[in-house]
Amino acid sequence: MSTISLATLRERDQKILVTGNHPKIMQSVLDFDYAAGKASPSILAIVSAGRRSQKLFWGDSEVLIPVFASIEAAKNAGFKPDFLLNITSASSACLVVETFFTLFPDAYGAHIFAEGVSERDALRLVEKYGESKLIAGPSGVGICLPGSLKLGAIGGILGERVAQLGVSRGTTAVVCSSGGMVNELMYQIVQSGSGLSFCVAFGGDRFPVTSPLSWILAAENDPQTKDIVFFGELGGTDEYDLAQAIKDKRVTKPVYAYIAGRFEAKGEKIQFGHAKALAKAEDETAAAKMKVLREAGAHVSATFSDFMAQFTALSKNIEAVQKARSWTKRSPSVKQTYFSSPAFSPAVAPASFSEGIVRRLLLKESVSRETVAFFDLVLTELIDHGPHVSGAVTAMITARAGRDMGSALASGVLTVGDRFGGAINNAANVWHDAVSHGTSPDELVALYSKNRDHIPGIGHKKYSVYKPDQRVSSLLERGKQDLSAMVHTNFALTVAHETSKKRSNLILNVDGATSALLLDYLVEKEKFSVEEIQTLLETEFFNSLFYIARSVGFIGNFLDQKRIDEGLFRLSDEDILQF
Amino acid sequence: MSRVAITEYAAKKLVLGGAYTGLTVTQDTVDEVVDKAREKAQYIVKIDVGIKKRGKQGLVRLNVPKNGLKQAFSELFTLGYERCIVEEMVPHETSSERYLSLDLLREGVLVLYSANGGVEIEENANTVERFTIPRTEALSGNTSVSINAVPLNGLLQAMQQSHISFLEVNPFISDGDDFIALDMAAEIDDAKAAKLPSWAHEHIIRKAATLQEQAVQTQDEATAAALTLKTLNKNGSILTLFSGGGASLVAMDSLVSSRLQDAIINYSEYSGAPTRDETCAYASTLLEVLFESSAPKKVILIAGGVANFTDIMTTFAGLVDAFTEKLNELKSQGVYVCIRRGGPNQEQGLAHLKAFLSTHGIPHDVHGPELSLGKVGELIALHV
Repeated sequence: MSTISLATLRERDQKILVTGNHPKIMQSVLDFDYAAGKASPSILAIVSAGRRSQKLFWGDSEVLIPVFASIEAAKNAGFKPDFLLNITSASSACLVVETFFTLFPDAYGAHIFAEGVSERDALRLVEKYGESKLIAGPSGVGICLPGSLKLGAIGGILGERVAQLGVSRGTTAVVCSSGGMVNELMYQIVQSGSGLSFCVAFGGDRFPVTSPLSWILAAENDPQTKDIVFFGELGGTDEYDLAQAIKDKRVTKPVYAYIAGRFEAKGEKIQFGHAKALAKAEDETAAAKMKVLREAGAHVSATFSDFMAQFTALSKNIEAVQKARSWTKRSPSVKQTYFSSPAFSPAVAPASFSEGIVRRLLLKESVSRETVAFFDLVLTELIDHGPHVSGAVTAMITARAGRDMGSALASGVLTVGDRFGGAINNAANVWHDAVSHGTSPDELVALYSKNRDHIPGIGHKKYSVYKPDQRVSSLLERGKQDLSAMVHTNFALTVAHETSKKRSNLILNVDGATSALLLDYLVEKEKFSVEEIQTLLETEFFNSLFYIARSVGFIGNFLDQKRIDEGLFRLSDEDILQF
Repeated sequence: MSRVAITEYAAKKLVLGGAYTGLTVTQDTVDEVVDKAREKAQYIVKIDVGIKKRGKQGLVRLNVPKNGLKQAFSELFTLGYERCIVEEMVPHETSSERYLSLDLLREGVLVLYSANGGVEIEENANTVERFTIPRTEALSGNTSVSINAVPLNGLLQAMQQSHISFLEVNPFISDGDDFIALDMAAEIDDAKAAKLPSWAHEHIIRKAATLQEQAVQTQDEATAAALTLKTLNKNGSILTLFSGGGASLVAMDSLVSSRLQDAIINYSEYSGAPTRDETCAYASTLLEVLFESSAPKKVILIAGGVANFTDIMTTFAGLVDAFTEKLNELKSQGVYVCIRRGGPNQEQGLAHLKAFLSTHGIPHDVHGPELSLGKVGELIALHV
C-alpha cells in the first residue's frame, strides 16, 4: 500500500494542477479552500486549450487561475503541484496521469474523473502507481480531507455544503465505490451528528488505481479517523481483501459496511450502472460479500436503512457539526463581471507620455530610461509618413465626406494590416522564433525563398540599398548607442544583407528594424524572458506602437481636410483604368 | 464501461487470425458459403449469437456434408436467430478435450485449466487447476507460465491486441504442437469496442431485446451521459427511473427489502448530466414500457442520491417534457409518481415537477434528501 499518510497531507496546504476545464468543479474547490481559511486557492494552474486564464471566485472577489497548453508548460512556469485533478476524457486520461507523474515524481496523487477508461489503461496505472500514489478513480468524484483538501466534485458543488466540509474536521472516514453515494453518505453522516475525517469515491470501474483496501488502510493509519464507513457494490472480490485485513488485525477501527446490489433476476446476470457491477460468480454477489465481511467482524447492515441507522453509533463531533452549520452564503450582491483587468495604478507617476505608454503596455512599475527614449524615438518616427500612404488617404476621404473625427480615425486605423503598418508583430515573431530556435539567417532566407514567401520586415516599395530609409538608419544608430549584444537586430541585418543581394529593395524596412530593436531592448534592458516575449507576441503587443503613433497622423489628416475643406472626394476618370 | 460478449466467429478470427478457416453466415450469405464448401468435408454448423450450451438446446448440427448445408442453415435460421458459424469437423476423441479460460483481473490474468474439458466441464470442476499470471507479464504478453501445447503468450498478445478481457476455450484439443480451438467465447472491453476492425462491430452481442431497449441503446450512443434500460418483467407495476450507478443499486435493494422485486418492470440508470432533451427522449421511451404493462396498478419511481453536479432542474425539466408528451396515457392509466432526489437546484427541480403533477391531477409523493434513499421501497409499497 501507499506510504503516504493522510496526517502528512493535512500538515500543509496541498496544491493542485487541473487538466481539462470544468469551472463548476474548480469553483467548488476554491469555495472549500476559502471556507477552510487558506491564504490562496489550492488550484495553482489549469492545463487546457484556447485560453490563458480561467476566472473563478475567491470568496467575494475574483481570481484568475493561469491556463497552460501542456503539463510541461505549467512545470516550466515554475508550478509544483502535489495532486492532479484530471477531468480530461477517457481516451487521454491515462496518458495525462503518466505525464503528470513523470514531470512531478514527488506528487502524492490524483483523481481521474472520466468514465470509460479501458481496463488495460487502468491496469497500466495500477502497475505503475497502485502501490506508491493515492489515485481515486477512474470514475467517481475524488478525494476530500475536510478542512484540508478537496480534489474533485466530491461533497458536491453547492457553496453551503462545500463550505461545511471546508470548516469542519470530524472523525469518520467514508470509502465508497460510487460518486453519487459518497456525497449521500457524507450528507447523512453529518446529519447524524458525526463529522468527516476523510472521504473518497474510489470509482465504480473494474480496476480502481488505488484499491479499496489501500484506501481503508489509509483511514486505519490516520490518527484523526476513529470509524470507517464502507460502501461497496456487487461485482469483483475486493471485499475479500478487506475481510482478510480485518481478520489479520491490519484494520482494527470499526468498519460499518454496506454492499449494494441484492436484486437478482431469475436466470440472468444483470449489468448494473457501474462497469464492475455484475456478479458473474457466486462469490461476487452482494450477499456473499456481506457475509464474508460480517464474519470478519465488520458491522454489516442488511438494508440501507439499517446502515443509516448505524451512523448514530459513530463518534460524535458536535463542535465540527455546529461550526459547519454556521457558514453563510456568498453575498448575493456580488455580481459576475465579464472582463478582467490586472490592477495598474503606478505608485510613481510617469515622467512623460512615452514613459506612461511603455509602463502601461508592459504592465511594469518601472522601465529603463533607454527603453523609454527608444519608444519615444519610434513613436516620433511613426507619427506621419506623408499623405500618399493608404491609411492617410482613407482618413482624408472620410473627412471630405463630411464625417467626424472618430470616423476618419477609424477609417485610417482599419487600413492598417499586414501590408500597411501592421507587420511589426509578424516581423518580431520571425526574429524571435529564429533566434530562440537557433535558426541561421541563411536557413531562414532559404526557407522563405523555397516557399516563395516574403519575409516580414524585409523589403520596401520606395527605398532600396541605393536609397536608404532615413528612419531605419536613425533607429539603428540609437540601438547601437544603448545596446551591446543586439542579437535580434544583427540577425535581421544579416538576413537583409542576403536578401538585398537578390533584389536591391529587399532591405530591412522600418517594421523589421523596429521589431528587432524592440526585442533587443526588452531582452537587454528590461530582462524579459523568452516566455514573456512569447506572450507579447501572442497578444500582438508589437503592433501597438504603430497604432498609437499613426493615430496622431490620421487625426492630423482629418484636421487638415477640415481646415481646407475641399468638399466631397471623387476619383477622376483618368485615375481609373477601364478594362 | 463494461465487458460485452462477441460471437464465437469473431473470437476465433480475432484470436487465431489468418489460421482460422471457419465462416460466419447470415441468411443473406448462405449460398455464397455453401459454394465455398468442399465436397468431401464434413461440417459443423452452430447458432452464433452468444448463446451458451447450444448442444443441449439443439442449436448445433454435426457432420453435415456440403449438400446438407443448406438444409442445416435453413433449420437453424427458422428458429429465429440471425447468425450461424460453420467450420470443418475435426475428428477427435471426447476424452482429449481440454478446458482453458483467461480472465483479466487486478492481479493479472486468472488461468483456469482442465484436461477434462468439454460440455461436462461443470461436472468436472474438481479437475480445474487455477493459477494467476502476474500483472506485469499479463500486460507485456510475455509469461514464463506454460501449459502443454497451449500458446499462452500468443493468446495473451491476441487478447491485448483485440481488447479481450475474458477468453474461454472449451473445448480445445492438441494435434502435436497445434492448438485447435473447437469452441471459443470472449468478452471485450466496451471502452475499446470502437477500436475493433470494422467487420467485428456487428459481432458484438448487445443484448437489447425489446424495441425500447434498442431505442435507449441508440440514445446512449449519441450522448456523453450514460443512459441504460434493462427490462426485467414487462408486466410489472413499478417503472424505475434511477440516477447514479450506486444510488440505483440502493434503490433496487430498497424495493427488494419491501418484497417488491417481482413487481419491478425495469432497471434503468441515467447519469453524467444528460441535457433536458436527452432526458426527455429517454424518459419518454421508458414511459412506453410502462404503458405496455398489463399490471392493474402502475407507479413510477424516480430516485437518486444527492447529486454532486448533475443539475436537478435541468433533468427534471426533461422529465416534465416527457410527461407532457404522454399526459393522456398517464392519466388514463392512473399512474402514481414517487420521487426522491437531491443535488444542485433541487428545490427548483422538485417544485417544478410537483407543480406539473398537481396541475394535471396526477397523484404523487415528492421528497428531497430528507427521505432516506433506503426508504423508497416503503414509499412505493403504499401504492402498489
